[in-house]
Amino acid sequence: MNQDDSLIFTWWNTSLAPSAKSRASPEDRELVCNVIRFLINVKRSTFIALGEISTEDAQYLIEACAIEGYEYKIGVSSSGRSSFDTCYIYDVSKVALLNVSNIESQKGKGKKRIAQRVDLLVGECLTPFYLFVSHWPSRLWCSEGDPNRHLYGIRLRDSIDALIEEHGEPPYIVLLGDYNDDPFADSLSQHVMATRDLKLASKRDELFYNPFWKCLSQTQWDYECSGSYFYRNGQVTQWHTFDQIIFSHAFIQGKHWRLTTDFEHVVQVPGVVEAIINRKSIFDHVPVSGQVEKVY
Amino acid sequence: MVDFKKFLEKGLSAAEKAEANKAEIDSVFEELNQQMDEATNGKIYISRVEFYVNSPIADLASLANLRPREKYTAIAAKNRTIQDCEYKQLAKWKIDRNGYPCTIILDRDEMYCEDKTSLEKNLQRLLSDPVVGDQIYKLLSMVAAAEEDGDENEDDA
Repeated sequence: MNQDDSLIFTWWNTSLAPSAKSRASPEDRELVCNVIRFLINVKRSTFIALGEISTEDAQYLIEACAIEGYEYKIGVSSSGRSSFDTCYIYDVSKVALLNVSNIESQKGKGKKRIAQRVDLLVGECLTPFYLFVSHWPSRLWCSEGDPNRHLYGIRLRDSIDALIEEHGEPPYIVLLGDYNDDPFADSLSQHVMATRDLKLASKRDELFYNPFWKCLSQTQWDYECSGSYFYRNGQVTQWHTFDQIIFSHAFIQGKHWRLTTDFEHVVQVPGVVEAIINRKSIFDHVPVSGQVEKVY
Repeated sequence: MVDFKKFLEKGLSAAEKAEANKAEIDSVFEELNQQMDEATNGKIYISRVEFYVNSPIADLASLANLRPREKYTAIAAKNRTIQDCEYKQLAKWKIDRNGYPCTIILDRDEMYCEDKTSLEKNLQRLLSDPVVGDQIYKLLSMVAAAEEDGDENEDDA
């Protein structure tokens, strides 16, 4: 496949700045720079969404980690007492970033950051792609069984449904983020309707396909990660697959763009897993990727 | 035997709850307009208004009786002291069949309001938005045509 015919989407929770409040040392930022260079130069990422980034961190990356042909877009914006803490890096020869907007839910005075929607035009045909980038609350603040976890999935799906209704034919939608839920959690599997069933996703236009069902466990001894997020104090598992990239029916139907199903979704970046396992490190997530290819 | 009565009761109860929610939402807009009245000397009125989707293709389809024009609802304001003043859109508006959540879409940001307090807070946020403020300012600055004619005649004399 020609490299020009494919787009690789990557998400990484950098851990630099939870809720956009930076806690990073110069060495931490340098490691993030190295990861970005690896993702672009080695893994050919077209579009990278970074989470837990402050404005200061993003400014540092823009200056210290400028890469020819790539632009940055800072997505940091306040949301109640917290913030959207994102930054986007993209290949301008393949992708035009049109708009970044916030999707929130509020009950009483409390706000929930459901997602940031990023509208793109991609390829020579300027096909619209719609990204929903999420960072849902940690299990520390919103436990696994908390009803609010369902609400995140429900409201994300509501926004997706509104977009589908406007669009006419099945749109190209990519969901990325740290959901702090595994693929089998109801928030994703039931409310967002992100299935493991590729065949069903190809037939039913309301379904999304979640390739990260394949990443619930390591399958080889020399493979470092049993997921994307490392929690040292886990009793039964230290790894979870909280970071995922999920694709709409249009990519499975594959009329103009198609998901590459044979793809290494959890990106093993040299130095990152070692940093994650290190007790003193702030890093606890591995980057994740997904690829789509042009259909002629 | 199938129990239809139980499900009918559920439906009636849900309908009652939905009506109560919608009445509560209406009361928030009533309070909003009461305060707008006081703040703008009765000039600015805010309502939820239907608009047609702006699309040349949709317009043609509608003219040819192929498809009715699509509509959407927006929170909109007008100056009610000006005759035939058109509503100006401030933000798009959606409401669930149960009343809540209602959704305010400002520019492209979406805010799901799950209850009365969050609706009030987000209407406050709407009013404090600079673009919305500019729309309201322009409405306030509109001068009635009769007033203008009256001023011109005074000058002529």
